[in-house]
Amino acid sequence: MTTFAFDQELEDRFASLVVESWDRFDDMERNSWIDDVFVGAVITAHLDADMFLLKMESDGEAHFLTFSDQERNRRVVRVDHRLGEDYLYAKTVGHLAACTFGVGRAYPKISKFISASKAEFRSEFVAEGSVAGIADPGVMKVDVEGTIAVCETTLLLDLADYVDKVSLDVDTERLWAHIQATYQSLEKYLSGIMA
Amino acid sequence: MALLKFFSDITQTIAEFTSKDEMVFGEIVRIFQKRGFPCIEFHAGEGYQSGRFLLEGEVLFAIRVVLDDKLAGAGLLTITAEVRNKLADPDDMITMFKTDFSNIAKIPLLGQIKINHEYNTIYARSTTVKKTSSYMISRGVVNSAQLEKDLGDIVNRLESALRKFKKG
Repeated sequence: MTTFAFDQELEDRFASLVVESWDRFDDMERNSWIDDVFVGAVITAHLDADMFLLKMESDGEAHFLTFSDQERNRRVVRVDHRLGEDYLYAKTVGHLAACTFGVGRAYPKISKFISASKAEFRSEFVAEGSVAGIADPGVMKVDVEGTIAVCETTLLLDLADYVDKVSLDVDTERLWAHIQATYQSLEKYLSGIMA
Repeated sequence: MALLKFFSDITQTIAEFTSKDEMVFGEIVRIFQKRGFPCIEFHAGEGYQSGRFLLEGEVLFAIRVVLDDKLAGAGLLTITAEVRNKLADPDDMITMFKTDFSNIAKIPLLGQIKINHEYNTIYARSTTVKKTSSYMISRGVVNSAQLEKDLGDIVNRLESALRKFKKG
């Protein structure tokens, strides 16, 4: 039978190594949650604004949400956090995510459908993806989806500006104010091309 | 113009009819977020939504809620609760190996709750057949109070089943 001299000090050392490892593990794990917490807050903010979730797709790193209100207006949010999911990238560059916001509405007249289709055609010429596959920020694009025209733009956001990396608390006031500002500009552009 | 509005309305009606799961899932996210349990994992596709919520409570570390649409508007609502034990002391690990693991082998099912032990994490899972439309009050409006009550009841049962597995 194998015996060994037990040393309590060594066991205590092992226990402290495990505790320290758990701390590092927690930090890495929380790093991968930031985008999900952000998306959860985006959903909550839209529901609080009397909208409902109409569509959701997510592979865990890129999330696509479509909301609607009772007047059948659409809001589209796409959060692409594939770069920020990497622990080293998030620690050095930040929790960068390409966030696309869109506003959509049905065309009131057939002539508006033609206007929207022209705008969609022009949108095809917009340069994008020249840096890390991320669309040029702030460019307004129009996408015609059936009977609805969606005007969207992409922003490069640092999710840590909205989500506390330790507590995971969300600054919902700031988040909603920024989303509202984006929607207003998109509404203005969409109204302009539909006028 | 009337024809355009007709097509627009019918498109939206179809989208809303096929999106009841998404509406209910959105409400689930809001319910947990308001209770201070943020969503920490999303997975969603056609007829499937999954969210993992961080509780970090006295017993439960997190829960996962899955809505899986099956047939004729009926789907499976699966809730999995997690206990996480950050064991560091080898004595605790030996105790866990000798007692908890052997207990799991004896009682894999506790009523309608299935227990699964994966070393530091113990899961309790409850699956119920649900018609998500039963939570809809009207167009796009979810019966949030009923949904919150049903979720709370299931989570409480899972927590009771897992309490004895929580260390420290």
